[in-house]
Amino acid sequence: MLKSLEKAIYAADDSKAPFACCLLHGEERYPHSFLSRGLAWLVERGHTLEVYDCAQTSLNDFLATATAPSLFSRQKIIHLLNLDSYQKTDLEKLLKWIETLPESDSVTYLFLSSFKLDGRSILVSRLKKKYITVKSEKMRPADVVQHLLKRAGKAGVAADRRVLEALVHLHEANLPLLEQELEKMILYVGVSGKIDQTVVDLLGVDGGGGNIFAFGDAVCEGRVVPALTILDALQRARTEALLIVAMVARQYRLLSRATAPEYRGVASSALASALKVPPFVAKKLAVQAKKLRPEACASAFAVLRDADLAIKTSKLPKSIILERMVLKLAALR
Amino acid sequence: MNIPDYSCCCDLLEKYAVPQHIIEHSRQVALISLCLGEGLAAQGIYFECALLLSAGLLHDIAKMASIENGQDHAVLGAEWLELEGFPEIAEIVRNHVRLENDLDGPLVAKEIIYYADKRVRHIEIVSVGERLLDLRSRYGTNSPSLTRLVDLEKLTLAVEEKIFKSLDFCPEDVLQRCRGKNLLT
Repeated sequence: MLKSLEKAIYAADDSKAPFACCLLHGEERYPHSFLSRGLAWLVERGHTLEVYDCAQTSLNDFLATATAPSLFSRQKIIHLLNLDSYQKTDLEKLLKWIETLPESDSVTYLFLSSFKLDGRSILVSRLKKKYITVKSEKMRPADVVQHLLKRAGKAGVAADRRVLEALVHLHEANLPLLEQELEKMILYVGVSGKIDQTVVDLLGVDGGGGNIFAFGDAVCEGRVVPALTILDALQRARTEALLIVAMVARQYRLLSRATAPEYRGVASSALASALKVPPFVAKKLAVQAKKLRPEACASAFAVLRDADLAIKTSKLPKSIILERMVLKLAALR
Repeated sequence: MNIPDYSCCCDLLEKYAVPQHIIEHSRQVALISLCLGEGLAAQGIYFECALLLSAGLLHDIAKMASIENGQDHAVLGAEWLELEGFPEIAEIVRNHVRLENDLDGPLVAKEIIYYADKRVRHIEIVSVGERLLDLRSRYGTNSPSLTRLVDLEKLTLAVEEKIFKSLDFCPEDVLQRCRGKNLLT
């Protein structure tokens, strides 16, 4: 995904290359900010960039302005954003206009982007045949690690892969946050420096913060204040309310199995293999299970079911529903 | 004193179909009230946290209904809360628009809620001046309304002075003190 965008940005840098176009669509924010940075880089390299927002510019206005030569240079790059604001008929008209662009010598590259454009849109299917189309979706953790290693390498900094993997795991591959923290660490260690666990501990992302697993543990251990604090962080990171409920339910499912008579008193390694979880998770479960009354587990599922239902049906804000869920679960202990 | 807990407040908000944006506004009002309550407690002036929390959360409980039926939302909200069995909260809610109080007397919870409400524009914590400007642009269409707003401004600034006389921080610090805080922590 990022490679395709990078390819498009480099292609736009070559003003002698034939006209081309790149469409970025999808809700994941990081690729959109990656594109914005790429466009800023093109401006730094002396290109003229015109940006149009479909939410504020009608198609006719856009076509009239975009086709006219730029006041500042003979050639220009265009970025048209929020494409979903245009109706289907507008998009068809836009496609026709794009077809005429290879003959125009003023527009050298056209970037189109939209957070909400459907992958089945006529624009995506038609542009896919000839130009670059990129779906903006969440990157896999391994790709995020690779991306961060590459970024560190570019800055002349070595980074311990295992340390980065742990950070990516802890923060669920939240690339904007991780990249921001990586920049801090790169600045700290300087060229030829190395990012290792010591540097992460000194400067890195707060390891005890907004992590859904830490939230599940805090809830199951009845630690209300940490649970609510992590919940705030999760909500700021726009974690889906249903995902939060599902993860707590998963934790209670594991706990209910861990408290079952057949696993009572077994070693945590045996529990780990029985529940198919890593040994450190089994250890935590064993501690949590000791403090949990068996009937509390059943009541917890009722609370989780109510929360799930409320998220889907209630008019209350999701933040309130989740807070009440935390309070009710804590009260069960 | 019968004070509804957080969960009960949420049930009431749901029961009276308070829309999300009003709930978010009320949460901010409750947060400011608690922040002021915390600051006052540090100076030896104690208010029950649960009272400030629930009054903040419930002060606009009848806002949507009053938009629909034209009644005074403070009066209607107070009536509802009295019927629910929370007369102390009802008294605070009744006073959150038109404060009837002796400014020379000791500081009371209804003054805190009245003031906190004047510090939240929609869901944003702002200064009293900014909030009143917002009220002026929304309601100050004719001269009686404008006169009322001028009176409101005078009263709000007097309440602000009264509250902050006892505090070791100034009105501008409220935003900073509320930042990153959760209503329940």
